[in-house]
Amino acid sequence: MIAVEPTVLLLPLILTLVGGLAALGAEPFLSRAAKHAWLPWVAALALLAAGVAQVLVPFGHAHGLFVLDSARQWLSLAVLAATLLSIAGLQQTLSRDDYPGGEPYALTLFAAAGVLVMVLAADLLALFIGLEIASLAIYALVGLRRDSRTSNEGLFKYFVMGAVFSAVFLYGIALTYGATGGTRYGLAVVAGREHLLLVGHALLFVGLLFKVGAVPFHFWSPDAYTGAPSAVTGFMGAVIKVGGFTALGALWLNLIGSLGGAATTLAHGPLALDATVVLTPAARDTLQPFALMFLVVGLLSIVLGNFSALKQTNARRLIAFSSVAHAGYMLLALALPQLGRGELDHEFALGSLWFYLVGYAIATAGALAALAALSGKEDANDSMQGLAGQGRAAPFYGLVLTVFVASFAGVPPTVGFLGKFLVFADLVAKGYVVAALFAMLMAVVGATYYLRLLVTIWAGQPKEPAHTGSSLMGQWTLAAAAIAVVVLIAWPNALINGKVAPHAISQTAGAALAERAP
Amino acid sequence: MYYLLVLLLAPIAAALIASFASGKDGDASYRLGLLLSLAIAGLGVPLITCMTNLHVEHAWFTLWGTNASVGLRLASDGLSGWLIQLVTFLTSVAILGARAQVGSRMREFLACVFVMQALMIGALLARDLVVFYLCYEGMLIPMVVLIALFGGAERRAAAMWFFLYTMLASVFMLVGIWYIAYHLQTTDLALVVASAGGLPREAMLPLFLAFAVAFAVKVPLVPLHGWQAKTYAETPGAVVALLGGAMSKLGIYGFLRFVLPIFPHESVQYADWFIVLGLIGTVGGALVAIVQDDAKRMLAYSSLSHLGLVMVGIFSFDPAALNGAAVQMVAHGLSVAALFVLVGVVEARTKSAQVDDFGALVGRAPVMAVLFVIAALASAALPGTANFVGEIQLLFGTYRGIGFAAALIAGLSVIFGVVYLLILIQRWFYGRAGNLTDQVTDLRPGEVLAVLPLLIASFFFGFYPKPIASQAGVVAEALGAAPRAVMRATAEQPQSQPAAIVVTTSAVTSHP
Repeated sequence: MIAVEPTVLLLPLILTLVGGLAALGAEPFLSRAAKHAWLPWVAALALLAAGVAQVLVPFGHAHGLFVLDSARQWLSLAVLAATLLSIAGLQQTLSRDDYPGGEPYALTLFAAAGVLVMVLAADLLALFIGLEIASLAIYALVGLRRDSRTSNEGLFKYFVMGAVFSAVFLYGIALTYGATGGTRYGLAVVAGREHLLLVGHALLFVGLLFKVGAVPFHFWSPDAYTGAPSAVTGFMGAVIKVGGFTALGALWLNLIGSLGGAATTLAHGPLALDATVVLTPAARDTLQPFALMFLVVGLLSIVLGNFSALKQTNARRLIAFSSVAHAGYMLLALALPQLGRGELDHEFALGSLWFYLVGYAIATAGALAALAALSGKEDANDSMQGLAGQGRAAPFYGLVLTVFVASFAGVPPTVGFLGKFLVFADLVAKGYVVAALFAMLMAVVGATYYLRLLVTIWAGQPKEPAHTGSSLMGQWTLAAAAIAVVVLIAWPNALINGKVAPHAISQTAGAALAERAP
Repeated sequence: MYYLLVLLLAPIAAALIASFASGKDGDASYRLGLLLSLAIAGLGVPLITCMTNLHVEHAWFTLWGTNASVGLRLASDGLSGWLIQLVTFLTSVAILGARAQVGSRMREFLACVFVMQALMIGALLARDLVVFYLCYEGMLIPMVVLIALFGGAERRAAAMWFFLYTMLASVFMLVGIWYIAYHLQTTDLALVVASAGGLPREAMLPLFLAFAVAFAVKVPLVPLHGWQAKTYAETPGAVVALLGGAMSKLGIYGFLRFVLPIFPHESVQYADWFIVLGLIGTVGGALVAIVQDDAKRMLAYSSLSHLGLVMVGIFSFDPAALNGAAVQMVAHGLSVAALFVLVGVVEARTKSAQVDDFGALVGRAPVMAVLFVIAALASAALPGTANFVGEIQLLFGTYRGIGFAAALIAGLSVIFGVVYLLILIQRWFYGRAGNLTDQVTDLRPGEVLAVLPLLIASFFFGFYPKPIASQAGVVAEALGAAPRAVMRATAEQPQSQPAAIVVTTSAVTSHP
């Protein structure tokens, strides 16, 4: 085997950044029409190169700061795919609206790079930097329509709240540093500072729950979702969820591991996200309050998100509230197994969360890109009335939107179904049959409003034909994504239960580190 | 063997080809779709001729925390094979019949119909609980799009009702599947059937209900039939041909394939309930059909009546009734599809299917009149049609397995069935001309081609039912072996607890 510098695992990230810089550098030299004709292709090329690199770069870790394992690879690919869909959607939206600048393409790539950092990070400071890179770029993207009041309102809310919760998050980092003496994930706690570690993690979790838009930190999402152009909404909804939940899951997995005695050490290397960690009785006792909090917040998000979405008349507000519910479903994956479950008592893995997340990211970016195409100039036509019958007017966008929305609703044969299936099956296996049944019934409530959207799109008579603005890239990426949403159900094994290659990273990484030791 | 996999994926490929290859030209799409559907139908024929007993398994994924490895377990036997023939041929029929109603939207129609076809084939081939659920539930979205796109004035409500009813009912089955997977460490149907005794006693009744309700909605069984009349009435005839002809059979198939073998004790214990509900549906459906003023609603209640009888037969567990159930499933699929295609033609011409809007059609559309009368007689189980073979077996099995009273009540429904069909024929084809009679023109060649093979098949199997009875019927009989064993054991030892009885499931799990 050829020894490769482990930093090579950052190649996809670097390619994404280079693409962003190239788009930004070329932007001033192009005419307005040429900007929307050429810059998206530059971005798409960079993203495709990044995607290829993502598949090719070997698993491992770079100095313990960044890690690549099979789960992170899938999540990164999902981020790249969502970004590509959003770039295509943006091209369609901005050229249709005759937007004066070309900077949104560069900003989108920068944000994607930030999220990739969040996904790969195994260090709190690296995570924070990724979070800020992503957030700042997305703030700018949300406020793209400078003359629109809703846009400004959404941006303002999101920005102020985001700043506050960034501070909370940063304080959590400081406390965790105080408790462990380092900023790596999953370090062993210094004796006598266990409470500090827990308080620090509580703050970290609160900061991340805000980012993923779980109840009670969800109030920004409807305004930000409707204020941003639809294609940006899809991007934001997809990648921020991936980044936030990857960080949340990684921290949770590492916390369980470190309290169970599997603390990250230089000899073992950082924890892979597809690993199964040992859950000791002591760790269960300590972490049960957190686990219950996740369960309660999850169920609250599901109830509140679904019932709020039920009465929405605007498609994007509907999707915003439903994204709160989706955050709730994903939080259920963090529940700890109940006692008396045999083997499960001392095992914990997050495969179902990763699978849900990958499917959700692609479906969200795709759904909103398709919605952007259907909802007319300035995305103004995105009410239920405005969308009535648009599927008849533009069958292609109608069909792909149907696939994505079916995935949201958890109807087979889509990744959305399998994601819910895996999360709820985990929940049953962990001993929460009632919670799983309740969540499943709530999923039917969710399916109701998704279905209303579908029926509206297909059953109504279009008042005016959809002004889609043609886009070659838009159609091809949407078609590919719709197929992916169905085909990806064939490979959940790559992500769940770590049975593919459990602890593979830890071992190879440990060996690599041992070689490098002087 | 990749044959089953190819058969499962062929309609998906067809959906992709149809949606990518054809643009605005509805006629070109129609020809392409027809060709593809006929090719798929041909591809499926070996299932009942030379490859009648297939079994393949492809690994899929392992459920976390269990050893349950979910696999793409596909198998075909006589029952699955014959129902797949029904699905594939009714798809061609639906495409043929839909031309006038669908027009330039053929592309969307084909995409949805082919996806539905793939999922129906998948559900019939699946021998894994998860794979079955995936296919069974996956039919909802294409069906909803079809209703929303091509339905009548109330299509929104119809689509919502259909979706909510079926989805809500199957949710519990999904939770039940998780529970089974966790407790038995498998989702392989054969293993689940063999080890169902290992499930906790107190969980059996909820699990049984979860599965039974999910299937009862699709059949539908009274009182879960609320969606049916509305959905059938608002959906174009050609689509109902597929919905009522093929999809509703999946509910009955679910009872045969899953409920009876996995829950033999509960099936026997609660058989009376299903028999009573089936009888209410049989007689009530036929009576309600008489007073309907919309032809499609009338046929919806007629379906309720016929399939209610099948349910009664299944829960008698009598071999003759089970054999008859299998024959009747195919026979009913043929006759009801023919009727719905013909009503759909009238509807496409006039935008109405009201009983009172037409009259004296025999003058304006003689070919339609002839075919309609034949289809109606087939549906009413005229001797010489496959429906007669099925119903006579069902009634005989009901008499032998349950008793004279049940058979008598069920037999009444056959008489009422003749009543509403004769009312419809009398109003539409004879009597005075209605206000929309002028707009009806006779069948086009394509439409004749859609209906004629169905009627020919109905008569062919009426005189020679052996292929269905000896392949599908025998499998259905074997699937009822477990409850029959329970009944026998209970009869021999009236004092013993049902759980103490050891059920021989060898007949059920005998497929390789």
